[in-house]
Amino acid sequence: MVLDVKNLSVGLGTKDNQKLILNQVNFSVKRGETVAIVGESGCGKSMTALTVMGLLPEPVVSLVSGEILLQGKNLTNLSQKEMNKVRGKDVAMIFQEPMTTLNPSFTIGNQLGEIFKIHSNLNSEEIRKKCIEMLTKVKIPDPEAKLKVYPHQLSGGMRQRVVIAMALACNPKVIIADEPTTALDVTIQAQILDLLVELQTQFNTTVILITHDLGVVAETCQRAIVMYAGQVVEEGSVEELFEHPQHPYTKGLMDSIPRLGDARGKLHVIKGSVPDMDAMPQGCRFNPRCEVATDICRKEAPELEITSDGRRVRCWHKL
Amino acid sequence: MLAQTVTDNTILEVKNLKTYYPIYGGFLGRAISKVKAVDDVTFSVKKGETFSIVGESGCGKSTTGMSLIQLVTPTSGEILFNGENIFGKDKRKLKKVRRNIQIIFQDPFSSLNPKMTVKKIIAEPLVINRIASGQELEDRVVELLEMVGLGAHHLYRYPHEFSGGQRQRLGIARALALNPEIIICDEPVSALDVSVQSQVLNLMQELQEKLNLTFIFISHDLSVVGHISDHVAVMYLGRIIEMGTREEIYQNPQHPYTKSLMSSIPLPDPKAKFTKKRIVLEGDVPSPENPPTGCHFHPRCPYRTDKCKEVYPEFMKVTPNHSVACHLVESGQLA
Repeated sequence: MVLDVKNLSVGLGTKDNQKLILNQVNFSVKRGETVAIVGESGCGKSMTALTVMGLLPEPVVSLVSGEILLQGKNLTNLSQKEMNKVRGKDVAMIFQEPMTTLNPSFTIGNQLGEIFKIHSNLNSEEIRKKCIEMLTKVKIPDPEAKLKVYPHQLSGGMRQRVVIAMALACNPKVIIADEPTTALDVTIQAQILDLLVELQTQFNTTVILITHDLGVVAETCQRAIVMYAGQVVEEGSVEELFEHPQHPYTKGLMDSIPRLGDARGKLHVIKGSVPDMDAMPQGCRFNPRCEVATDICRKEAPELEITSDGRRVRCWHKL
Repeated sequence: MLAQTVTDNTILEVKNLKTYYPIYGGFLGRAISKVKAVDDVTFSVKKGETFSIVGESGCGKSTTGMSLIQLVTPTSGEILFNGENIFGKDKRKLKKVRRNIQIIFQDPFSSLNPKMTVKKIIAEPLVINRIASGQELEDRVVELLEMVGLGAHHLYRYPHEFSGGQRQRLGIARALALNPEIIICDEPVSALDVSVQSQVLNLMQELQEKLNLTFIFISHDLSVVGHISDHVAVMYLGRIIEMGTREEIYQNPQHPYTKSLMSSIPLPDPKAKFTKKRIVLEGDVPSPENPPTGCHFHPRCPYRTDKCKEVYPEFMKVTPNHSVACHLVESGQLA
C-alpha cells in the first residue's frame, strides 16, 4: 500500500457548530495503480484530495479525525514545514483549471524550475536541463523555447501538459488529479488522458483520478471509489462496478448517462438532488432518493461492508 | 447546398450566415482584422425537431445561436423564420421575433438576476411584452413553474435558494413564458451533474412533445447530443463541416474530424477500451483569427493531401440526409 486513508473525517465551521463534510472515509491505494474517486458535486471528492495534500482551507474547514499514511508515514501529524517537503515531492496534485493553477506572471521555466529549486540541490544549468527534459516527456513541442513563455501564450491543452510536468517533476509516489480534463475539449481530453496513462506506466506512479465523468473512469482506471454526501458508498474494480453495481446510487448514476447510439427516449432519473449538509437525512444518506429504500434505511445508517475481495458497499439492500 | 430538402414544415432557414468580430488595434484603435466566428453557415430546421450544433470551444456554435436572435449582429446572410427574413429588422420588429425565438443559457448561476424573485424573473418577459398583469400574470407564472416541476411556493424565493438543476428549470420556465416556437438551448445541461442532467433532459423532451417546440441545441457533449437530436451539424472553426440526421452522423460519420470526435468520447464501459480504436488528433484547434488555408482542418487531419492545403472543400451530399465538406470523401479516398 502506498497510500492508506483511515477514518478520515473533515468538519466545516467552528468547534461548537461543526458539520462533517467527510464522514469516516476509508480507502487505500496500491503502488502503480490508477484509482478513481467518482461522485457528483458536493460529495466530498475534492475535499478528500485537499485533505491528503494538507491543503484544507483552515480554520473554516479542519481535520476532525483520521490518519493518512503515505508509505507508513502519517501525514496528519506533520507540521506545515514538514508537509512542504512532502508536497510536490512525494504527493503531487494536478488541478482542474490549468489557467488558475499556473501563475500568470511567471514564465513556464520559472514555475517548473521552482520545484527543483525547492526539492533538489541542482544548480541553475542542471535545473534548466531538467525542465527541458520534463517538457519533452509531456510532449510539448519546442521545449527549450517554451521555458521563456508565459501561461497565457499556451493553449488549454498545453497548459495542462505543463501542470502534469510540474506534478511529475520529482517523481512523486502518488499523483492526485482533480478533474484534470474537465476544462478541456474532447479531442484534447483524449490527448491528455493518453499522456497520463503513458507517463504513469513509465514512471510507475500511483494516480488518484477525481472525476464526475464515468466514461473517463471506465477508460483509464482499474478501481473506483464512489462517494455520496461525504461518504464512500461503494468501491470495486472498474469491470465489476460497471457490470454489477451493488449500490442503488451507483446503478442510478450509470443508468442516467445518455449512451451513444441510444434512441431518443426517457433517461433514467435519480429523483431529487444531493442533500444539503445542514439537513442530512436520518439513516442512510441516500434513502430519500433511493428506489428500494425501506424502513430500516430511514432509521439506521448502513456500514461500509466488504462483500467480496476488494469490493465494499454501504447499503442495506445490496443489488 | 442544403442538407435537408426544404419542405413546408421548415420553421427556420439560415442562409450563408456570417458573423465576424472585428479586432481593434494599431495607433488609432481601428479595426485591423476580424475573427470569422461564423463563416458561411447554411442550415434549415423543421418544426418540432431538435437540431443540434456540436463542436469544440471556439468553433462558433454559440455565436451561431446568438446570431439567430441577433444578440450579436451578424455580418451578412439571411435568417428566414417561417419564410420571413428577420435579419436586419429594426428593434421594434425584432422584439416581436424574439417572442417566438427564446434562449436558455448555459450557466444557470449567471443567467438569473440574483436580486430578483422567481416571480419577477419569470414574469419579466410577460411584462415587457405587455401580455399579462395582475392576477392573470401571477396565474401564468405559477402555471409555468408547475410546467417545469416547481410550484407556487417558489414564487417569492431568490435564485440562490435553488440548486443548479432547479435554476435551469427556472431558465426554461422563463424561456417558455411567451409561448415561443423555437428555443435555442446553449449548453443547457453542461453545468449540471449527471443525475440532474438526466432530469432536465427528460423535462425538455416532455415539454417539446407537449408544446410542439423546436429546439436548436448547442453543445459540446456528444453523448447528450446523440440522445436528444434529430439532426446534427458539426462545426469546426466557424464552418459546418458535416451535417445530417443523428443516425447518419453517429453511425456513419464521414469527415475525419467527426470520426475522431466520435472516437474521443470516453465510453462508460470498461470493456470498450479493448475494442474501440481511438483516433487521437495531433495539435490544438487553430485560432479563428488566423485560420489555416484550404480546409481549416488540414493541419490536424491524418489523411491530408496537397489539395486540402489549398482549396476549401465544397459541401456535398453523401446521402440525401447527409452532407459533408471534405475533399477526400468527395473523391472516395476515405472509403
